[in-house]
Amino acid sequence: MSRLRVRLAGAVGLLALLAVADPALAHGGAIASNRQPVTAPTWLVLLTGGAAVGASFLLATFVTDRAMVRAVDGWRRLVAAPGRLARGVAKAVGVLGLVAVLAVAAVGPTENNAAVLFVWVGWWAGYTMTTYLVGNSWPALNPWRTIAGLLPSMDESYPDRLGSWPATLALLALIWVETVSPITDDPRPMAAVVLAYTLVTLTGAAVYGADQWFRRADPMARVFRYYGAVAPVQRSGDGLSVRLPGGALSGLEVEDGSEVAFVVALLWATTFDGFVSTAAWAGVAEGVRAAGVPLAGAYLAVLAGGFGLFLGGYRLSSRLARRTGDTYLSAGVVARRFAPSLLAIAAGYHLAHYLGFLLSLAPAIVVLAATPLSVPAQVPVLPLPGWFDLVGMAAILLGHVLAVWVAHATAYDLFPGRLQAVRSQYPFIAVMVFYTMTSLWLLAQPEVPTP
Amino acid sequence: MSERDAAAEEAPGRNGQEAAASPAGPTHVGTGPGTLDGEFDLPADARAVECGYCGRPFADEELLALHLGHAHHDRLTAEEQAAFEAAYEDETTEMRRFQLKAAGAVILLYFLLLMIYALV
Repeated sequence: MSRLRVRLAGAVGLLALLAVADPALAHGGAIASNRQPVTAPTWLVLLTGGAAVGASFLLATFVTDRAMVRAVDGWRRLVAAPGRLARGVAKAVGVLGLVAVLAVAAVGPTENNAAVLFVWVGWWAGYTMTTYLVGNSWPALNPWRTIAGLLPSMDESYPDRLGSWPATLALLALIWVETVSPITDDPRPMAAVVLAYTLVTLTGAAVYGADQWFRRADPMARVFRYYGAVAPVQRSGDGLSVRLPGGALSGLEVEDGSEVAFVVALLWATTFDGFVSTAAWAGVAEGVRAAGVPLAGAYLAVLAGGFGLFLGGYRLSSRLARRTGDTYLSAGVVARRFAPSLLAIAAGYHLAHYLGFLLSLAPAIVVLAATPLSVPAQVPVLPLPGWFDLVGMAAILLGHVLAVWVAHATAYDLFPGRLQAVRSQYPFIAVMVFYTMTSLWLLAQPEVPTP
Repeated sequence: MSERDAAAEEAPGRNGQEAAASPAGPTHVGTGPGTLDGEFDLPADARAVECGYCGRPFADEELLALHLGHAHHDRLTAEEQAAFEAAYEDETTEMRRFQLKAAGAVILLYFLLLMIYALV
């Protein structure tokens, strides 16, 4: 949500700050332009990033001991599960948070609204980070789940043939609404969208039962469940266990082809967000507007087209992997087993995309939350040092290196031959190298306000 | 534990994953190499060899022998055991050759980048 980053930056008066600090930066108008660019030329950064991912793959081929691969991914320590009290507190916090967001968004100031900042910075950036860095606490926190649990339900059975397509389309639709509507800086439309989501979710849960709805149809629960699969804290049986980050991924298989589509949509969502805030896109959008085509339609076309391209690319690599890996496993099985490795990439890219955003606006959340109904005279923003860009690049690389390991462990789990396992990964590694370079390019672009 | 011992001890469903079947979400699969219960997709003209124990198709005798050694090591005949060991031996040689090339590629990549950084 770079568009969001740019907009919120404006909303909290960062633009004014920037203009005072350095007039040359004023027309840049983004948080990113507050920082010094990385000194190496962009093409060299991309080349190095791609080479690092390729080299990790080559180095991983030296780990051929199946027992060791399994021991690394299987390592775990059981920890005490939170008690009833902790779960009750989490539920109360979730519901109170939802009520507070709706109330502040409805009656609070239209500028510098605490609810807007809380939702986009605190929840979508910050909370999401905790789901892949620590563990998925959303099932306990999810206010809609808590409310749905109190309402009667018809417990219809969810139509299997729909699979995860409703959740996938809903995720893409939310991303589209976020890009083309003012919900990222105007609290009233945001409250309307939250209310609409509440209505759909509670109706769905009433028809299909809360368990089925949040497991199969709800997009947000699924986003956090998938990000949570990367995290070190995992549920095991009745308790919790601590594992290595990404350790749970190589033993996972997503349910069906529509689940693969959801994982790809999750990856594409953040990429799309980076893409629409580049100068390249601003140029295209200008042309589109000049041609008289509604801009919202252009966004929809790019969102849908890019998703199709990503999904097609991933499916193609699964088919190619059958050939390079010399196996008769169907392309569908290969796609479903390797899909969890994409989650590590998605988490790395999310961190790269939002960490600076979260840190620079964190003081603003605190100040605005203290006085949610009035606009404070000054909203503090944490200035980030120039080297902070490197943190984002490191996050992208770490996500990819983790994904290389997950793909390696998955291949060793799938195939009896060691060389066969290595060869089966060729198409996926090629895609990962390409995607690393794309992400680094997007990150290196100065952010411009989205047209 | 040597790699060989590890391979010989392999059994399906033993990699410590709980087989929690939760539809519409990532599912834990607990299988050993080549023991996946999944669909197979055989072209009409494919020359596949099938595993006599579980019926899974493989592209050649060598992969089948490796599968047998990894997935059905507790019920192999002496002949199958010998075939597994031979296939494993062959594969180790091939793997070494591959790793030598991989090491060369990493070193080449490293120096190439080093030179580019020196020039830019």
